[in-house]
Amino acid sequence: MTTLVTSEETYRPAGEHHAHVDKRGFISKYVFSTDHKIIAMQFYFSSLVWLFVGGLLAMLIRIQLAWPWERIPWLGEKLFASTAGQMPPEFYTMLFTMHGTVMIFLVIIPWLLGAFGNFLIPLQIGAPDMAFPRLNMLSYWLMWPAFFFFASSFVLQGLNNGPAAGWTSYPPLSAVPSAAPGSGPAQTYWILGVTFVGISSMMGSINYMTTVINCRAPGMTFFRMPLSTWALFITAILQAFALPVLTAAGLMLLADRVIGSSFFVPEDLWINGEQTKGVGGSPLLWQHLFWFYSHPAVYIMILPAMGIVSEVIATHSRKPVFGYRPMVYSMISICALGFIVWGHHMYTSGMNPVLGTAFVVSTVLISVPSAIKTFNWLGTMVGGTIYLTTPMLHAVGFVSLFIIGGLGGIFLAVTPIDVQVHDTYFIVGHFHYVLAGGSLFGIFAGVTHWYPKMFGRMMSEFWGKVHFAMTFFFMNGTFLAMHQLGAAGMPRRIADPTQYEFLLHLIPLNKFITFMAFGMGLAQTIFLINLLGSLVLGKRSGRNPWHANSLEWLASSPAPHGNFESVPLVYRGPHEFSSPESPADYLPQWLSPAEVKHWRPGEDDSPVSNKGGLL
Amino acid sequence: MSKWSLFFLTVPVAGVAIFAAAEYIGWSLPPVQSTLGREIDHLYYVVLAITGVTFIFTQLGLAFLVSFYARRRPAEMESANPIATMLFWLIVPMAGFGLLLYWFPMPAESRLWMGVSLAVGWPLVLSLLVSGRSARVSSTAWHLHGNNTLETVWTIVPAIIFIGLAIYQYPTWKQLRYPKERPVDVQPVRVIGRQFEWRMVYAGRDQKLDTADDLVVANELHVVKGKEAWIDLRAMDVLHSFFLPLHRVKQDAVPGLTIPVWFDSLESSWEFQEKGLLFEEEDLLDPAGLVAVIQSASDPASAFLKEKIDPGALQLRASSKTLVAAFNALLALDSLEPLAADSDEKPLPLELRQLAGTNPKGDRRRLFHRKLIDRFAGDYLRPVGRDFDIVCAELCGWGHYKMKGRLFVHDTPELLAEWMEATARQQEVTQ
Amino acid sequence: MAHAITTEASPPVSTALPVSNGKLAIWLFLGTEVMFFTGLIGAYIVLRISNADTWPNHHDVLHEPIGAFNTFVLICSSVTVVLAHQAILQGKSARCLWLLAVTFLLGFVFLGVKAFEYAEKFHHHLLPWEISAEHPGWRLWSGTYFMMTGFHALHVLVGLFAWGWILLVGATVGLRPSHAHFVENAGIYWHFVDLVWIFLFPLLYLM
Repeated sequence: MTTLVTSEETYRPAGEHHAHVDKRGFISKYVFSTDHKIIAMQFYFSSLVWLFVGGLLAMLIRIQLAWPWERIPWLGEKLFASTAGQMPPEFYTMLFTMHGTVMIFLVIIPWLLGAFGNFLIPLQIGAPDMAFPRLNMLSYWLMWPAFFFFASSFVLQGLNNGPAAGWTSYPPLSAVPSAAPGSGPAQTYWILGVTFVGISSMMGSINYMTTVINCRAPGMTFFRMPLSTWALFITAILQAFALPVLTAAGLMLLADRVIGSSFFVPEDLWINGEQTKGVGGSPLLWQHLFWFYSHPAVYIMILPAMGIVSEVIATHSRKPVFGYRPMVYSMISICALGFIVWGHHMYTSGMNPVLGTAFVVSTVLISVPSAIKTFNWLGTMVGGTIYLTTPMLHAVGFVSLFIIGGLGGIFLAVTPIDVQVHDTYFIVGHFHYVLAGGSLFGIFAGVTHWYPKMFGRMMSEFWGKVHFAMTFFFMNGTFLAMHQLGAAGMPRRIADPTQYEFLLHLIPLNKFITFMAFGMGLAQTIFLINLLGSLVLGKRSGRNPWHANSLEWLASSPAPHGNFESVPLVYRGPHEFSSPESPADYLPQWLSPAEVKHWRPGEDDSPVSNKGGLL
Repeated sequence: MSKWSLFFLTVPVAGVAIFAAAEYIGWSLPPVQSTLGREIDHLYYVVLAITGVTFIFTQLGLAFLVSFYARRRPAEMESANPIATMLFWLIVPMAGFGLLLYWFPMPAESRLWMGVSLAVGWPLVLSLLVSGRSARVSSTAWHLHGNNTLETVWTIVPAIIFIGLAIYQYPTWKQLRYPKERPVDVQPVRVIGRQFEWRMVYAGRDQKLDTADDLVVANELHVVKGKEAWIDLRAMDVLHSFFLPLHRVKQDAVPGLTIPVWFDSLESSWEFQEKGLLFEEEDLLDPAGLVAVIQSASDPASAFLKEKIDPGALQLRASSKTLVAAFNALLALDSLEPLAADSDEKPLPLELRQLAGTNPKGDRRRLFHRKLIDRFAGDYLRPVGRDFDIVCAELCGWGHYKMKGRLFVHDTPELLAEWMEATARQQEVTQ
Repeated sequence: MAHAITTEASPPVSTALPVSNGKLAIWLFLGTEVMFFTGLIGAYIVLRISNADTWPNHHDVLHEPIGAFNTFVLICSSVTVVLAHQAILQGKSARCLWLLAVTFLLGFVFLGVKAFEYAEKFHHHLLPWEISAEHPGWRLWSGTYFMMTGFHALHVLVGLFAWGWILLVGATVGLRPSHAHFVENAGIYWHFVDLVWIFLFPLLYLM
């Protein structure tokens, strides 16, 4: 009916063109699969497991902070038999190191980039798969060496000798094996784990960039891509060009530990009464290299969540995104500016203070695009028909929590204020708002929104809302008052704040935060049960239960191998809700103007309803 | 009004409540002790004002939008048997939580605490989820793609505010850390961070460092009130961070570098210890007077400990830092010496009278101090005077949490010199 | 925008770049490699400047003629790669195969010379852990030298694997015009490897 202007050379999807009967065996279908959706599931479920590992580590941290040096019932006898049930300080330093490492490298980044990136990009641009499916498969399986190295680092020399230099791994603590119990072989394993995560991510990023640039369906111009695709694309750029610097730094740190190269170890160090063999290296060099990646890393962790939230808010408010192009330009600015702000992690590091001034300017400027995005999300909700489904609640929760995290960041951008609150709980509160409040809520929104597309079933709305309410409440309870703790001067990474007189009056607050954290942890079990239970007990969903417009909702639920029955053609933008040109409150991207005339909306979808529930 | 909007409304309410209350319950910046610290605090409150206003408006806006635009889907149907369903959702989760609570390892007191919270909280959450369904049915949303004017406004205005902030903070940062000439008459103290103590090296009698008569002292930095103190910060093994919370000083100690840090002190240690006490010397000899003293103490730390005092019994259930500080200030205490075991059970008032009446100095003073603490040691007591703590703020190993030093601010240069002399003599003896 | 242009009157057009997936991916990959070597080279520069007084003179640790020879070898191999690509585009697969074999050989020579240089370092006890702390500059030089040239050599080795593979294909089933993509993309990678060396050579051997 419509003429297709294309040529074999220019439209270049990799793999097969059409959905077809899949004759491969179980191993090549589900284990060593090259299908982007299966690979996405692999990332998804691995991250889910590590989420609970990271969460458990956090619970242990909170136990120590609320009841320092007290005998921990039951768990204490099992883990700390040699210290009469009491947590040793070496164990505590391992706890926060691995909590950060696991959450960042094995949960948030793989879940957002590996799972959602893999799942959404080909579906949303109308491709049958990624540009390089085998490279994609390799990028997942390279996570397993990382899993091995990180898991082993816990137990290599016992729990008290796990990596203990912080997720930031500053030398000389991390470079000199004798500097602490956790700086031994476990730290080497930690570096190897990070290296493998890095290689996996870089492969993924190149795949995503190539796919988005070259494999879009006809009519899918850049400015018709859904914002989630844009976010993932820009994140892939950030990841690809920032990560190699960390890899180089990690290899240099490894060299310091193994071949005595002394990149980061200065001369004349005395550890445990022995002079180390360092010469002329610079600990600050590590910090620069590390933060050159790790600052973009935080944008890597938030941008996909922002993209997901934009999708969810538009879909569940039945309105186009307010300011689509400004949203895109904001993400691009965040990407560009993200490369030149890393020094704001190093204001007190001893680097040249003039650099501090320079970084203040770039850091305050990067708040501007985030502010623009926040106003645009609010603008999307204005005049909308908002259905407070679980995904929408998580998305709104994201906006609320991201505002707090972002505003807290303004304090930190201003150098003199940062001098006071750097390395205190103010920072811990700030980054947990943007990571747990931002990224994690973005993940929850994405999980609940795309669950029908991934698994062909609906999650329980009721339990989803319970999970949201509990998580939102307990999350705020846990992290809001940490800003106060930090302003009052409580340092981070301290096993026992009661050592310091000026902190004694904060003990009840620490206890309160611990209880809130327990609540937040418990709430996640509800999420887990809902996720797993709905796989078998959830109501079956149709192709497009949310009545959304982007291409992934054209594929069946769950999407088959090859994704689409034929190459989809794109006629309009991705968020055309409540359009006057449509008989319904949505207007899918794939319907040509002629097809719209014959279209009977919703005849093959099952719109979501709360039939039979309390809500 | 949608019930969820109430839920989101708790955020700005809680936020404002906590930040406001924080000022009065010691949950905010500790009392500032340096000139530049005052500027830092000023910047903090400026940013708090800007972000606070933004926070309130955006969060209120969010709650309002949720409330005003929330709709109910036309396809929603009522439940078949509402009462049975309600009971089910009430009882089953409570049982589940109860089991989890029973099994999950935690101290007994928190088990009770959590149990009560859940017993109260879950029905509340449930009622919120059930009640107040939004009456409005779906309507057509605006087909609006954006507004360029608005975009321009909310790009330019924040940009101007932020750049303004960057410019505004520059003079403070410059004074704080930009390299400047050390005055010739100022002798820096070399502060060396090491696992897990601070080692201070003073220039000694010849006023030169790296000579034979240097004073090496662990964990004690002595400076003079009102005069800008300079330290040369170093590290011996790994990164440390020299953090004086009340003076708003923080600087990483980097091995291989010597970093100059300067700060002044607005109050001496004695003045700091006496702060918040409104009493006369005589009050201390009378137990009732003591109680009155503690009850009138106004600094947050002491206020928190007030609850430990039972005025009715005229017997202090716990000594407070204020009490100890009061005696310190009164009796000009030096560092603590260990005490021979002495387990007499006389009630405090008598002890107090006996010892305080002699206005003890020196060793007897220390004895008195020790007795006081031993008598009332408990959860929140530490046998210390109220000092300025030096904290290590950069992870340096497993002993990071106990790397604690003490800043002592002398009232006059003469007192500092006196201390140096005394320390020098002590060092000569031990060498 | 308040107004909405939702539908275009003209039919959907293809949106891809006129560049193959493989070529695009190689260029993006090389972008990441630039960042990787920037990290290593940046570290070298920083450490050298801050330890300038104890840094060894390049005369004492390296033979400039050998480095120059290696540079010449790599540049020649880049030329042969270009010629090989031209050949396969013209359908001359035999000529292409020969040129690729020469490329492989030249790369092999490069690595052989590198191995010789490394052996020299070994004999003179110039490995990082062998140099005492009394010669800090030498130790730092050794660490940075081995990191930079070592990872460069690894990249050359990967390139050799690529050439080895295509030579195997050519020797067994024969080169087809469709292999032009592979030769071009591998060639882009090889030019990059050459380019990195052109930075490393003056930094290490001449300054």
